[in-house]
Amino acid sequence: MARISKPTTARPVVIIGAGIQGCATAFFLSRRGLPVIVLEKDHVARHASGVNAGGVRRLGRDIVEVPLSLAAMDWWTQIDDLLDIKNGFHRHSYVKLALDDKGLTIATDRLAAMQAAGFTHEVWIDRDELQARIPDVVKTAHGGILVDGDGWAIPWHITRAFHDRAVALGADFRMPVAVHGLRRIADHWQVDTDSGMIEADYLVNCAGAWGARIAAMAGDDLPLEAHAPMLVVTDRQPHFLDAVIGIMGATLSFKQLDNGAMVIGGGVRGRAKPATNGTILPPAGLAEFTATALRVFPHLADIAVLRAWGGIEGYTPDHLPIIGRGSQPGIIHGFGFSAHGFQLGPAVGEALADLVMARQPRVNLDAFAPQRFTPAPSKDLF
Amino acid sequence: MTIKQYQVAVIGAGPAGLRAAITAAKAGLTTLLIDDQPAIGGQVYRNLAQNKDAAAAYLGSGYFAGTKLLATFSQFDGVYWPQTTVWQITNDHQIAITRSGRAALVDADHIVIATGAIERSMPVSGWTLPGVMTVGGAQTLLKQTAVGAEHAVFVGNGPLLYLTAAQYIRAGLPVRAVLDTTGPKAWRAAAAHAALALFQPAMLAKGLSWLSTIRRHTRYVTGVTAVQISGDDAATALSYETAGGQSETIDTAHVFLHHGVIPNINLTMATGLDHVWDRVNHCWRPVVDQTGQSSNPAIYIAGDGGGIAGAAMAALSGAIAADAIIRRVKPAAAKPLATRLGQRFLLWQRGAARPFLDRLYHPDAAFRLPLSDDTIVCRCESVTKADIAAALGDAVAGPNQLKAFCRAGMGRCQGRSCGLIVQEMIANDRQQTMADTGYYRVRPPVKPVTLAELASLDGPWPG
Repeated sequence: MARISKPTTARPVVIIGAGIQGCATAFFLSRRGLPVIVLEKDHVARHASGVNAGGVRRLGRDIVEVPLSLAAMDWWTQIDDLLDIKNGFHRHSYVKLALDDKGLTIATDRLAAMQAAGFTHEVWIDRDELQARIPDVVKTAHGGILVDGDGWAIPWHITRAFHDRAVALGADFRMPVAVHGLRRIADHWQVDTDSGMIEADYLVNCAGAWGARIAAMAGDDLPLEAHAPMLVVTDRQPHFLDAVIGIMGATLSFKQLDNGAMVIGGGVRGRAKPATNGTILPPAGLAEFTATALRVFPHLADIAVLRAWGGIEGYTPDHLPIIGRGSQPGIIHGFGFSAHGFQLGPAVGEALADLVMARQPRVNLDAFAPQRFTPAPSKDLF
Repeated sequence: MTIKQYQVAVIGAGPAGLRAAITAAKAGLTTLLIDDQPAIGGQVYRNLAQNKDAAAAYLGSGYFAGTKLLATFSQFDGVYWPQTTVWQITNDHQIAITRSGRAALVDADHIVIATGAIERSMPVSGWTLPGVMTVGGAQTLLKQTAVGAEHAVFVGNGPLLYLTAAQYIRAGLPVRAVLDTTGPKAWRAAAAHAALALFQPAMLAKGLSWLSTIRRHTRYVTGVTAVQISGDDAATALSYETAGGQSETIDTAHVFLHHGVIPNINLTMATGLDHVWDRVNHCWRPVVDQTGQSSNPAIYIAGDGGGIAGAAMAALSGAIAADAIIRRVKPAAAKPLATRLGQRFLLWQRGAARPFLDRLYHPDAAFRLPLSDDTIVCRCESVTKADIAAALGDAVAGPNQLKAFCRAGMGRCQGRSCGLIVQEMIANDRQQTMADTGYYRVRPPVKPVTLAELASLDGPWPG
C-alpha cells in the first residue's frame, strides 16, 4: 500500500486546561509559531494553579523529578524577561527543618540519597546557621536542609503572565468552554465543546484534576484522585522571614509575603468536588497544619487567620505527574502533578511543546510516562 | 475536641435566636445557644438590662419591647455560651467555635442560624474618613455607653436612621441635620403597596413620630441626590445637593450614614447554602421555605439573616423554625395546627408594611456606588474605585478573580463591606445582571481565629 504523505494542515494544537501547565505549553508553542487554541471550562488559573502555596522549590523533590525541577529553575531565574513582568519570582531560599530526632534521620537519609544521585543543590545547615538566618525559628530545631535560590511566586500572577504572553504571541484562549468528547478521525482529532466542534492535529491534556476525565475521552484509563490541599492567610506582621519554611517528616509550607501576611499550608488535604468546583475544608485539617506552624514559630500564637482555601488538584497513585504520549497518536498528557507542579510549570510547558513538535525533550521524561499505569498485556495469558 | 451532640444549636442571641432556643429547649430538645456578645439581645436589644432605668427612656418603646423576651430567657433550659465565635459550619453539621481562646467542634442535629443583619455600605466620597460612621454604629454607642456625638449629620433613609436620629434628639444630643435621600421614584414604587402597610398602623405611627421629632428639633432636608464628605485627616464638612437644585456645605465633624440593612450572609454563604439575589432589596439572601429551612435540610435561618423583616418578625421566625425542628424530632411536643396557623397570620400581618418600606427605602444607585476615582471601596485592603476599574479593564471574570487582581474583599471582613459594591461595578461594566455576576466565595474562618486557637482544636475543652 502506498504511503500517502501527510497533508500540511492549518489545524491548531488544542490544549485543554488553562492552568500553569496549559498556559506554559501555549506560551512555548506560540513562541515557536504553532497555532494554538486553549480550551478552559472556567478561567485562567481558576483552580490549583491560581491558589497553590506558590513555592518555587527544587528542595525535597522526588529524585526522579529533580532534573525536571532544575530545568524549570533555569526558566524561573529569567521569568521576568521571559514573561515581561516585574518581580515575578521572590528568590531567596527554602529550608526544610529537622525539628526533632526523627526529622534529623530523614534529613540525613535524604542528603545521602541526593549525593548518591549526584545532586549538590541541597545542603545541611546546622542549628547555629539556622538561627543566624532565621532568628525567630524555634530554638530546639536541629538545623535543616537548605536550597539557596529557591523561593516563591504569586501563583495566579505567573499563570496569568504565561497566558498574557501566549495571547500576545497569537494563542487563542476560549473560556469558559468545556470539552465533552474527543474523537480520533483519520489523521486528526475532533474536539466536542460547548461552543461547537474543533479539529486539531494535536491535543495536549493539561486538565489538572480533570485530566483523567479528558484522558478517558481519548481511550486512556489513568488513575487520578482529586483533593484540595489547604492554605490559610494571616493578618500582617512586621517583616521577619525571607526564606520559605518546610519541615522534615511533617506537612508544612510557610512563607511571609511582601505585605507582611503569612501564607501557611503544605498539603493537608481538604475534600474536592471537581464536578461542582467545590471544596470542603475540614477544621481538623486546618488545625493540623496551623499547629505545625506554631511548632516552628511559637511567637505567632496570637496572630489571626483571616481566610482558608483549597485549590482542586489531581493526585496520581505514586505522586509523580503524568507527562507523555497517550495510547492514540496525537494526544499528549500533562497532568496529575499531585500538588507540586507549580515550580515545574515552565519546564513542563517546554517539554510538552517538544513532544508536540516531535523534538527530544531536554529532560528525560520516562518516569512520568502514562504507560506506567497501563502495563502492556502479558503474553503468558495466551 | 468534639463536643457532644445537641439536638439543636442556635447561633445568635438576638430576638430570632432567643425565641428559637427557648422554644426548642421548652419542648425538651437538648439545645445550645451560641452568641459572640457578652449578653443576650443581639444588636436590637443590646445592653437592654443595663438601660432599664428611666434615664435611658430616650431609647424608646420599641427597644424596651424586648424586655419581655429577654425575661423569658431566665426559664431557658439549655446551654448558653456567650462570647463564643462561630467560624465554620461543616457539611456534617459540625459547628467550629472558639471560646476563651480555645477551639472546638460542636455536633448538632439541627442548626438555627440567627446572625441577623448588617448595614449596607454607603460609599459616598469621604465615607472612610474618621468621624464618619454608620447610623447603626452610632446607635450601638448610645445603647452601650450612653454617649453620642453632638451636632452630627445623619445621611440616608430607612427606619433605623429615623429611629436613631430621634433617639439622639430625645437623649439631648443636638443633631445638626438629617439629609433624606428618598427620591420621587421610590415614592412612586412604594405607593402601590401603601394600602397593605395600613395593616401595621402601630409601626407606621412609630415611624411618623420619629419623623415628627426630627422635623421639630433639627433641619430635615428631603430629596438629597448627592453627598460628599470632606476633610484631610478627619471629616470637617459635608456638601449635598437636592433634586430641587438646593446645595449647601455644612461644617461637621460627625456624619452618620445609613441606607438600609441587608442579611449578614457571610456564615450562610461560607456554609454553602443556596442564596438568591433579591432585586427589591438589592441584596443576597439565603433560600428558605416558610419555616426557615435552608437548602441544607438540617439548617434553618431565622430572623433578618434570612431576609430583612425587623425584630418582632425575627422573634416569630425563631419560634417557627424551632417548631419545625420539634415536629421532625419530637412530633408530640409540637405546637398544634391552630397555633401554627396563628403564627402564619402573624407572619403575614407583621410583614404587611414590608413591601411598602422596602420600595420606599430602596437604596438609590447614586449612593450604592462610589463616584470619584480615589474613593476607597474595600476598606480592609484600601482598594479604590480606580483600582477596581483597572482590574475590570483586565478582563476579570467575576468577583473572585477580581479579588486576586486587586485584593478587594481579601481583608478581615471578607467582603462584608465591599462585596455588593464590587459586584455592582462588575455587573455595570459587563452589562449583566447582579444575579449572573455572583458574589465573593466566602471562606472559613468566617471570623478571624488566632493560630493558637485554631491549633487548639485537638486539645482539651474548658467547657
